Amino acid sequence: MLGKLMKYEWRGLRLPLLIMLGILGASTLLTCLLIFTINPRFDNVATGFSVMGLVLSILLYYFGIIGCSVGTMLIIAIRFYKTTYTDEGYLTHTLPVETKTLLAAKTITAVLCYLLMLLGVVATLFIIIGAIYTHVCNISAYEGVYFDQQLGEMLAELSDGFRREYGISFGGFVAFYAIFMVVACISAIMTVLGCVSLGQLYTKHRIIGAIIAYFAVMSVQQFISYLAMLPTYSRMLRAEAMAETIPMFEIISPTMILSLLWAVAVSVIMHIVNLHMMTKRLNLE
Amino acid sequence: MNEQYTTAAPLLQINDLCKRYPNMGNYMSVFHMNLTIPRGRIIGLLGPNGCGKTTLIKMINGLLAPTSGAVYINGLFPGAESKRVISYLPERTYLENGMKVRQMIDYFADFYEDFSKEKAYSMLESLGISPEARLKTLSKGTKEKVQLILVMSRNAELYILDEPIAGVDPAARDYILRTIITNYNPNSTIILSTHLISDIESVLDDVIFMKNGSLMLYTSVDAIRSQQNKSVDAYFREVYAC
Repeated sequence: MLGKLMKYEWRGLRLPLLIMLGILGASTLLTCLLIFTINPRFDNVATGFSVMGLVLSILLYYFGIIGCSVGTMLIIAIRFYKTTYTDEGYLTHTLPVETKTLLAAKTITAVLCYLLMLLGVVATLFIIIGAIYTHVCNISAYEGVYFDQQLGEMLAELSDGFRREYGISFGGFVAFYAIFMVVACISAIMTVLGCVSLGQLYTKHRIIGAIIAYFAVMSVQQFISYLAMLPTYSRMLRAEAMAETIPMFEIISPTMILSLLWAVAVSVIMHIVNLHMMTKRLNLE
Repeated sequence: MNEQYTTAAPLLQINDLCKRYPNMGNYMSVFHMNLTIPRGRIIGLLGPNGCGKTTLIKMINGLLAPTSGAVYINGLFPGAESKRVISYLPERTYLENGMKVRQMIDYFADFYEDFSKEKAYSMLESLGISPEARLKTLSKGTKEKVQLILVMSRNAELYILDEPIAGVDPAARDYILRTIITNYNPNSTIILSTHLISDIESVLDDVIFMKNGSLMLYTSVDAIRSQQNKSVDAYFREVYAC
């Protein structure tokens, strides 16, 4: 049944998700075009336009990724609300499946959709970097310097520098950060879905209730995040007082691990909240 | 938690069921209700607006948690197993507007083992509804017909129909009532909640009268006719006279 439920969840989410990915792709394309309009010679005549083009392209890309990420989260929240707590909920809750299976299908599909959006953002980031790199190569070639020939050396230097500075290999850091992002993504989705459910306690203003619940939960999360930063601050102050040179990763890793554990805890709490609301407190109008 | 299924268990049993709405001034929508529904009956669930019919139906379907008391379907609490045997038509349109009628049929066939696609397509044809029509393009009445077709295309043990004929024209009402009778299986029970008593009276075996959230009367249609010398409609008007 989980597979069937996920199939219909995906069918409901795929079109709006594709639209969001399309918008992201379009903003990336436009950003690339703007990057390519920057004058490679960067001479005095074109500098004003070049700087404006650069700023515009960065802004466009920034708003593109923020808009699409928030948009995807909204799409997930709206679908969850519609199929769980409005008239469509009558069909959802009379299917011959356990509530936990229903919730698992909705959560897994939502997480996969959001991860797909994040992968899209990462892919566009590589495209933008590629566009900038190509363009910089053009500029340097104009100046008689061929960057692409030195790329291997540059990357090796970057990797060594990263290990020296941060105390972890570049690959290790990327792997750790990728795990962190996936867990954070699951936690963010669970928080949104949990807040939609909590909003149902305000029976007369369910949507406003969900928004208030979200801000309340986020405020608590921000406070906990601040507490999680304390080991990093304390380590930095100690290192400064003792004039120690400590690799950056050693300083930030306690905070990252605490944040990771907190994200897992939030996911579990929100899952319990959702299950409780969908069974014991279910009250379809 | 669930009790073991036993064929000896009544199809539907309601024990001392209460539902209170704390956010509505502790209003008791269903008040200490006790009821046992056997198999093989067509039962009218009747009562004025706000008497608790829909609340009771929602609790039977597990859409609303009771404040106290219990509901048993085939000896089981409302859950995945009980939903397998109940075919429920709510008073609202629950279909996803973006889907086509055909996709809704596939959806029901995917989830309900007792769903008959042939029966559904045959009923759609009789009512002249295209399976390729997108639900958002259909009128409210046609959507209600599609919902009824989906619900009646199942070979369920208990059909619960909340106001199935309220939103459709008189010609369609006749078709719907014919559909209900045609699909009637001697081992299954149909609970019909409606205000339009005169339209459904001819198909009913029993009636349940509810008042202020409580069970007022549960008897057979024949008993009303023989003891009161009145039709159910006339008796209802007398009982609930304002």
